[in-house]
Amino acid sequence: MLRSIINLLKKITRRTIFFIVALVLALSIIFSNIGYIQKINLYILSKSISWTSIKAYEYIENLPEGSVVLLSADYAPSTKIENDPVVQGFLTQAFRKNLKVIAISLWPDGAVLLENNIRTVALKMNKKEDEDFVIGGYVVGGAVAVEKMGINLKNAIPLLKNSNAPFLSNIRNAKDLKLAFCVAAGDTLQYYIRILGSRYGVPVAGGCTAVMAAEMYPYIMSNQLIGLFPGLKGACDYQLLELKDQIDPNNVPESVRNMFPQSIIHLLIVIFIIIANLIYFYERYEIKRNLKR
Amino acid sequence: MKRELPLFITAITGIIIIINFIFPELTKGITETLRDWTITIASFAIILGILNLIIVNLRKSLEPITHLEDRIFSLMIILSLVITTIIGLVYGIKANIQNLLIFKINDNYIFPLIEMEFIKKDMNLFTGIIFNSVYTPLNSATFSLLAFFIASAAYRAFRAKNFEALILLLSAAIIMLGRVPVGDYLFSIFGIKISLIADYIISVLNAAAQRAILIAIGIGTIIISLKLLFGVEKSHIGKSE
Repeated sequence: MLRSIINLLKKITRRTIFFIVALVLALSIIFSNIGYIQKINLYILSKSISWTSIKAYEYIENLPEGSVVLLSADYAPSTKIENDPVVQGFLTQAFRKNLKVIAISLWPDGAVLLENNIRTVALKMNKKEDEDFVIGGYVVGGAVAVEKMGINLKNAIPLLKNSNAPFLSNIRNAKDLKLAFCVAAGDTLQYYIRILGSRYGVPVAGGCTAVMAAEMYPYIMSNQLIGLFPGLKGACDYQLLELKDQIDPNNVPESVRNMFPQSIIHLLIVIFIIIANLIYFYERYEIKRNLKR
Repeated sequence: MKRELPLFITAITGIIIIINFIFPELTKGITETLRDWTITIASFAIILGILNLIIVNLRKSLEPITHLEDRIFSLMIILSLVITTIIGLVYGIKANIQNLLIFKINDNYIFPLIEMEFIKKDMNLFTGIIFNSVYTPLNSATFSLLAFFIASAAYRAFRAKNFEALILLLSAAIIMLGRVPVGDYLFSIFGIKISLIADYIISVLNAAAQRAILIAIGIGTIIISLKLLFGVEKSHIGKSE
């Protein structure tokens, strides 16, 4: 019996795995709209908000009204699902707190995504360009541009020179910023930590993709990074922290809904690992048994 | 001289940047100029990249030995590049919010129903069609292939062949389940909150290992920089003789 099951499992090819993943993903995306699943997801997520997310959220919450903050959205459409809700969450919190936002992107793709996000949130919250926020667009230069921000912000972000925003009159360089919030899918968050944070003393917080999160923890433990919203989980944390009681359990934010397909696919990968190890140990057992004979 | 001059420029530039780190006011002007030059030179790399892309793909599409599909793909790349550049230059990439008819999945039913709804959405020719309707889905689709490859790789490679592999395997499984709600849901039967264990692994054990790697990278970078400054490392000026 066991041998026949193992023999059957041995027949799993790459094609079979791809087919199972596609099927499970498609079904879980459809079922993520079911009210009961949404409620369970929402309940578990609200009970397990990461301490890194709470730390970043509380820091922003305690910033004085009118503080000027920098938002850098450095990601491409490929990680939009993870990064967009963090940008939207930050903008919602910043606008609610009446913080003044300078929005830029060190990635050309990010500039378009950022502009879409900031205009949508500003429209919802009745905030005006050049009064509550300025869009600095795509800033060329990566680490060099961040270095330039420490010396002269308007030289580093050329579009700021055309802006008449009153809150920019007191801003000369990055040292005048109360926070640099970077949402990254690459190295840029580390540029902000190493250059603006360590060299110019600007508090840095941010969000990143799940695969990058592991690299960021040493910076959080040493307080070089105030807090972090990592991956889709971080995105959910931000939405849950910001929206709190306003969330309708039958119509949860998109990031919370997207957690269901991600949960299922993680579970599926763990099941695949267990099956692979079962086959491996059974084969080893059979070899040993044959040798004894 | 052909090799000495670039090495001399590298050394001088590096020394100026190091001095600026210690005495920022002393070399403020010159480092600012050097940074501007870096950005300008980096921008020229885009032109170089575009030219390279056009030459490689033109050659591929014209060569008779290349497969017909490959020739079509190469032509498509050049065509996409030209169309995107023209539309971007003519219409700009500024967002322009307009009303748009979209399909929305209704959440109030057990099986989702598709409804139509008017929403405000960005519909500039560049951002609306090329960026939102072509580039974004293609980019997301390519990235989403990772799920398939990771599932397949995990099945074939994650075997507990020794103690170290077992630890790697267990921590990977705990992190995978601890970062999603289903992990806490399943392990609540045993009274275990797996997200807390995952948090411990990532913020204590992982942070310690990552810190060691970061310090090692830092020391390595200092050594490479010193080798560049003293002209020992010459790989950046081409093949060593």
